[in-house]
Amino acid sequence: MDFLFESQNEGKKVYLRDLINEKSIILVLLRHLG
Amino acid sequence: MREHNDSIVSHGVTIIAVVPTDSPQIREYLNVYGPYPFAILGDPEQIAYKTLGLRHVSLGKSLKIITEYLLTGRIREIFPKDNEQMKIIMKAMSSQDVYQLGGTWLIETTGEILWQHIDSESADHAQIPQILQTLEKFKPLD
Repeated sequence: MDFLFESQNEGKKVYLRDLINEKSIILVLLRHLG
Repeated sequence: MREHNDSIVSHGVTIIAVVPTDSPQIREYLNVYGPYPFAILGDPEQIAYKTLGLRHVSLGKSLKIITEYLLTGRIREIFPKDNEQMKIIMKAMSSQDVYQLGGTWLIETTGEILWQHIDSESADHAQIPQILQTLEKFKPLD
């Protein structure tokens, strides 16, 4: 499973696989912001 | 999740939150509601949501839930009194898919999904005790 997400920093994107490589993660997909 | 960050990450995991919107909206949100101890990333096209087969709540169900909040005096949990917070909420409601449901996964460094909770309705989130029990059970690798 790999996805490309937008970072909080404008113009920067991050792959889920790069985050997983560092540490096991709890991934939470939220309904919406707010 | 924010309030329980320390308990969760003490098990050697990182929390990653994903929302169905873009970086500018995330930054606006964090300016009003932040800070958060974990990353909030954007999936404006909802690619992950669609790929993972996450559900949508119906309009009827959404209206029923809002009505329940209104009748039980909890409407401020959805529509805050603070003007800045309300602006964020209204923008989210007008620009994001408010019917989209979410989910929670525990993913090992190998990419293996050790556990998941797929929300079946808007109030059906993975509970913190459940997440902590799962982390105790699976003890993710370093």
